[in-house]
Amino acid sequence: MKKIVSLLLVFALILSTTACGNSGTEGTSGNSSTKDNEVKESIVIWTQAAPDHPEGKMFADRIEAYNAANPDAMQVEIQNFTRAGSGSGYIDKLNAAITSNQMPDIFTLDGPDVASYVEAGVIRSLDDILETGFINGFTDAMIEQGTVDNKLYALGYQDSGVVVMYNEDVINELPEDVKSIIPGPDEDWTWTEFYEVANEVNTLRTDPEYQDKEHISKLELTVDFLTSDIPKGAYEIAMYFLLPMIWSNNANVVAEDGLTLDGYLNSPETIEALKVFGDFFANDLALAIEPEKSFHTGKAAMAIGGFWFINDLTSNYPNTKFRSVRYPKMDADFDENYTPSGSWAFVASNNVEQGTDKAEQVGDVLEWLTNDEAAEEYYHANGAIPGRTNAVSVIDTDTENPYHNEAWHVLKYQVENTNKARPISVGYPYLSETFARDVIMRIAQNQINDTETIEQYVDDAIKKIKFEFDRYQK
Amino acid sequence: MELTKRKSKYSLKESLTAYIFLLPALMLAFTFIILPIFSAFVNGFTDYYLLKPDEKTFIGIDNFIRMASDTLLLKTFKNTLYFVVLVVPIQLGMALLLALIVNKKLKFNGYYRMAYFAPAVLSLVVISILWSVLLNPSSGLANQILMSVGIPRQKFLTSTTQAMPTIVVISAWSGCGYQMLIFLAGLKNIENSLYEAAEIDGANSWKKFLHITIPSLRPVTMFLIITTTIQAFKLIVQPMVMTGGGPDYSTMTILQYIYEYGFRHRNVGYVSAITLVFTLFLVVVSILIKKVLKEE
Amino acid sequence: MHKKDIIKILFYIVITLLSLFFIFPMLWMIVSSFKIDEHIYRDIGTVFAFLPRMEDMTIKPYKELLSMYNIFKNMGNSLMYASLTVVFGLMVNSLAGYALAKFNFPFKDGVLLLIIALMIVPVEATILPLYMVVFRIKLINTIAGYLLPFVANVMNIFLFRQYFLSFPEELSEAARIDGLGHFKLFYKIVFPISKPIYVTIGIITFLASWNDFLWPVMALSNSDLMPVQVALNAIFSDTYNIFTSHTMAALTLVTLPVVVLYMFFQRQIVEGVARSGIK
Repeated sequence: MKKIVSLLLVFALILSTTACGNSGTEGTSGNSSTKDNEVKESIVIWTQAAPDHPEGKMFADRIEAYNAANPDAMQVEIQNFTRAGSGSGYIDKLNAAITSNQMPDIFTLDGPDVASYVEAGVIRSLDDILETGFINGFTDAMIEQGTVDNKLYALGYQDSGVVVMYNEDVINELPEDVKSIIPGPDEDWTWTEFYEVANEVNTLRTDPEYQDKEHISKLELTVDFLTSDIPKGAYEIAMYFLLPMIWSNNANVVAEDGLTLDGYLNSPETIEALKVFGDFFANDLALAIEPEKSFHTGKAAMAIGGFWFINDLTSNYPNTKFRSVRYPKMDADFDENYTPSGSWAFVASNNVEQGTDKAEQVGDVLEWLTNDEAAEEYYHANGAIPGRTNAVSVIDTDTENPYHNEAWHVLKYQVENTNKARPISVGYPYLSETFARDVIMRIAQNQINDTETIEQYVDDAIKKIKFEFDRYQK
Repeated sequence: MELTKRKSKYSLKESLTAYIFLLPALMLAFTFIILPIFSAFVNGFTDYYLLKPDEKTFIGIDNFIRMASDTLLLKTFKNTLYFVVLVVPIQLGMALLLALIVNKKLKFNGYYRMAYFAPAVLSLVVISILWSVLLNPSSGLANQILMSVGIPRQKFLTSTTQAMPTIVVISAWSGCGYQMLIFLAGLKNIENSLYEAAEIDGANSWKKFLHITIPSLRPVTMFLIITTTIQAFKLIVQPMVMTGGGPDYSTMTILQYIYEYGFRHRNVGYVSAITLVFTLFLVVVSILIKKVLKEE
Repeated sequence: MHKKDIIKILFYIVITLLSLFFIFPMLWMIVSSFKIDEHIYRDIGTVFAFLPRMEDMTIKPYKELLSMYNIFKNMGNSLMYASLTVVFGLMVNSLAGYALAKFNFPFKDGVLLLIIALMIVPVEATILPLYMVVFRIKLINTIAGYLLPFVANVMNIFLFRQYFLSFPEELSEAARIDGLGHFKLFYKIVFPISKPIYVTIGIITFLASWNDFLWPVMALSNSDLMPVQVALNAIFSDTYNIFTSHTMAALTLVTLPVVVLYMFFQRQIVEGVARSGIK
């Protein structure tokens, strides 16, 4: 009996000591406690970068520099959390903060998510605390991404990009007249042309006469669309990679209000674009579930290549000669923005009251975190693509690796000139997921390219999404 | 006249002792398990939207009415039921088999114990990557082996009919290590003298198994059937990571639906209502299992 | 004895093949952690994924991984958290399970039913309310707030109960006759004999704590306190610098302690306890 009681006492003792001894600072906007319990107001920032990660370190460094340069202003504390996959971990932390009303003053959000936080009244607009003209230093895509109802809410600290890649060794096997369809690094091309080239490669791939050539016999598919990532949870790939097809056909999946789908997701132009996408799968040029890193390992001849491919290719697959060209358009005459873009951005909590000193400083910090200097620093620290027009030039296209240079040359052009932000919609997550699963994956997995079936898929998706979106229409 | 003593069913000393034994667990459970659950259930009667915690209002049984016409939810229920019915016997059967093997005095016993438990130790990430690669319809090892013995390529996780059974096998394979351990502890608890006495009576291995092993494992088996069933109903990680609930929602489970609606689409109120119904349903199932297996 | 030998050999072949079926992913993981990315993907789908060519072996992934992330710090944290959870969990849960198995008291059936019900509710549904509870008692970002919620574990209580149900009465009777009180009985007699179940549940508890990701992120803010799964996820999400070989190296490192622990303790389960001495 005595032993049990004493054990319980020990238990309780440990409990009390750890409870007192280990409180760090929680994300309360306002007070940081120092050793002698001096309560000083501070600004708290949360990001989704992991602390040991180069991204986390670059933010920490940037804030350290700010504090050093502004010793008289409020101290800024930054906490880097980690995220798993599509943001969970960090997002859950954020949700907990919202629920307990312990929001940080500044935090990061993925671009497409901004609208729902605006609608919920969780974040505040930034127009009143930023210096006039600051916003003009961003690229069109960044401004678009952060604007809801004509007010600015988010400042992107980096952008992203996608190019079409092809394996030089494989393409060299093609006849000259086909090879010449492929554009140079400064030219545009269309999806019809892309398809034509891919089709020729596919013929080679299945031609028994070419099987003695190693690059050909290794091929298991012709074009890697990365659709295998979608079932694993990366639903966003569908909108990110494929919306530009639809945009460049003078169409969209949703209206400006972010909620109306009729006439957009099911418009003839959208269906037309989806049919071209379906052609790749119906005619065996692409596989719905392709092998992991198929382009990198030479199992695919061409790919829709996210910018993150480049470092992987140059570091780990020196034998894969990857050439890069611009993302194709559906309509050759299309001349507005359309290439894939978007990434995480900084926002400010609605708890930062208007007109206060704190609000003003929050504006300063936001600018510090996303200005030209910051963008350049981030590029050097983490390879982040700058979203500031003056900083894009910092991207190095003069290294020893010509393939690396070409890829970044194309990306640079797109980031500066043609990148377009994804739709601003309160229901974006649901829209994106349903588009990925109920339209794109179905077309890919069932190898559909007839207009009627595609229309049916699209109509089913619209019905589903409408039911969800009803809530917003109240 | 007889003195009739009023017989109390319980001895005060025993009851008091029992509650003292239970006290730490009950205190902790009340604070950290019961309270949150209660709060979650109450949310089922509101329209709680995650980003607007202050605006939640009581909406009565609206969420429950909505559940009745939610075809996708119904589909996930069917999928989950299908999974449970298949996986429980397969997983427990495998676990018992492995426990029996490992219980023997084998050469390199340590190796076998480690090998059979290995999947349980591994991160689900590794397991999912590897199985996805293995089962890749075009280039995976599984199909290559099948083709070499003349069986045509299978679609495995990309087929609406094969996906769930494939996940059944993978889940049984990765989870049976735990149950094996528990069966093993149960087996070790059986006194050797029982087996010795049976041998003296001339019983062979099969008879010993049937009349000594099986009955002695009763409490452990009961536990495993109930818990494995409950855990099976809560399947979420494998389909979420390997097929995303597809193809065509054929592998989407109830918990995946709850998770996505609650966390991604932030509809906490609706999801809490589903959780409440789900819990009640499983409580009934557990009681039924106990009744069927007639616990002493 | 020819026939007996053949059966024995066949038996060993079967269980060895079976063991390969279970161990191949771990093998793949470990083997891949000693290869560079290009080789990992080249070998996928072939036998070299499991039996590598000697010339491909390198410790480069480990060197590169450790130069970027100090995973040992987080492993140390996890070790402490898991050990604490196991020690306190075993105490609390075994006492409760024992009471439910051996004593008769009012509301016993109710408590049992409650335990089963609690086992059912999925953690995904309760993690946010749990956060609110811990927040209200001001234990967020403390080790106590992080560990306490999972010390009492209804599944383990239930398992202990089932085990104790079949615990031989004769031993308890003998001890009671000798005048032993309930607590002494539990401590001096029941516990030592029940080592196998304690070790089993200890291993399971350790694993659960070691693999936990979501709750640590929510309950702790201080990155120095983070357990290993959180660090692991940070590594996974670093798509710029971290490639598959590093991931495999990280996973191998993280899995190693559990394997060592398991190998060390499972002897306790299998060897059982000599009971002859007690009588």
